[in-house]
Amino acid sequence: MDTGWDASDRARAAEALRHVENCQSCRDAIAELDRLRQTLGSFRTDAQPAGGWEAFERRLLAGANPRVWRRPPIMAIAASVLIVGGLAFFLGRWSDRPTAVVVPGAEPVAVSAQFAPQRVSHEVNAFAQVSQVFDGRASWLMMSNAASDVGLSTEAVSAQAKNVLLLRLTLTRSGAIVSDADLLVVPGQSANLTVPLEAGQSLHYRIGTSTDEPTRLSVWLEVKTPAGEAPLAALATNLRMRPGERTTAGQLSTTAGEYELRIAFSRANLPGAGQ
Amino acid sequence: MGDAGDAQWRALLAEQFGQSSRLLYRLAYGILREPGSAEDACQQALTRAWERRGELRDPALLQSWLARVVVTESLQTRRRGQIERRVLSDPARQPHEQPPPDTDLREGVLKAMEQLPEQARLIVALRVMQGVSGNDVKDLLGCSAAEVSRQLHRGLEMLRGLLADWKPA
Repeated sequence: MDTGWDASDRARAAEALRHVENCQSCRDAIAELDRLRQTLGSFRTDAQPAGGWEAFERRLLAGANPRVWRRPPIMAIAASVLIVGGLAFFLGRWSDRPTAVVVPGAEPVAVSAQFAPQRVSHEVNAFAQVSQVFDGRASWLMMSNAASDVGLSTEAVSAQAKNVLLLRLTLTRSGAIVSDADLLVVPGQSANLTVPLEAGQSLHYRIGTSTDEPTRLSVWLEVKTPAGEAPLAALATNLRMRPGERTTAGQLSTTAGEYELRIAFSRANLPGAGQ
Repeated sequence: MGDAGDAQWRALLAEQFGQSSRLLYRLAYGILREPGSAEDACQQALTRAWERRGELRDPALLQSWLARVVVTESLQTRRRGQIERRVLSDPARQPHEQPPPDTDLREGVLKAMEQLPEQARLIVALRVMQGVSGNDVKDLLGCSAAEVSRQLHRGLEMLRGLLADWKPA
């Protein structure tokens, strides 16, 4: 770097060096600075992100730019849930205990790290409509590119709730996204849900929430095979999150590769609820 | 901002991020030592840049703005310590890189870094933590070499003062 030193600067520097030679406190200060520089230098890294630089840049630019997201047909998903759920209800298949219904065939959902306001609005409206059908007993609603589930409680939990928590559960393998699901859950309720993966494998989540701020989340995730035997891998984690935050919840090591679970968190008022 | 403006901004953001993505990731990874969290910090910077596209109109300053957000976000994430992980599939496996020796001093340095003024913090992170040359820092920040030297000296002196009486928790 060009320091722009002239002859007088160099003369002052030489004088400073002579001073240091005879000054213990200055030598101590320099030694402290050296140690500080060494410590700071130990943070240097040549690390590369999962999947390499190009994949990293693609992922981040997609996540930062809401215009590349494709909004899923939320109302179509909601309608499917209503039709199948309502049919099952009238056929007496719904018991009093918490349960779920799986609706395949939703269109692919492009992944984003944040909840766009319009998408939140659609998802919350979908949750409100599902809740209304089930007399306010819907405690959670999951929507992914492979399935949609709804969980029912014995009590009208969503009818009493003013807001709903939103979690985006994104699982990546070697940097590539293998599963992306949005979960809406009433604060204080738990969700027990399954998200299909390729080749018959599936993800089983158990997610507990709290009503306090920041929200406490307990997350249990298992990767299961089609045969339903012991899980390939599992992770458990406890988080405290505020709306707008996202975090890496943990990694899973399997024979098929390294998985990483990321969670984005938000909260939204339910229609008709006060601010 | 209209669609045309958004399109221009997307292109600018992609270009600027493409030029500095490695530096941004390594700044974050150096502090966090965890790939996913480092990526999250970079994502946060990009998301904020997009959200504030109406205000951040000077392309020359976008990269330095991103770097500043990444460093601040990484330090805050580390302090919050919000992530608790347990990998159950293979307890013997170490999921993250092990911290190097002298961890206590490193923790102290990171805490002290948070107390530095933004510009000094960024220059210390770039120049000393990641070894970016003075010329590159000068170009990245759009300031003079003398300003880089001055802020680096100021930052290191402040760190030395902050760490003088520091003891591990």
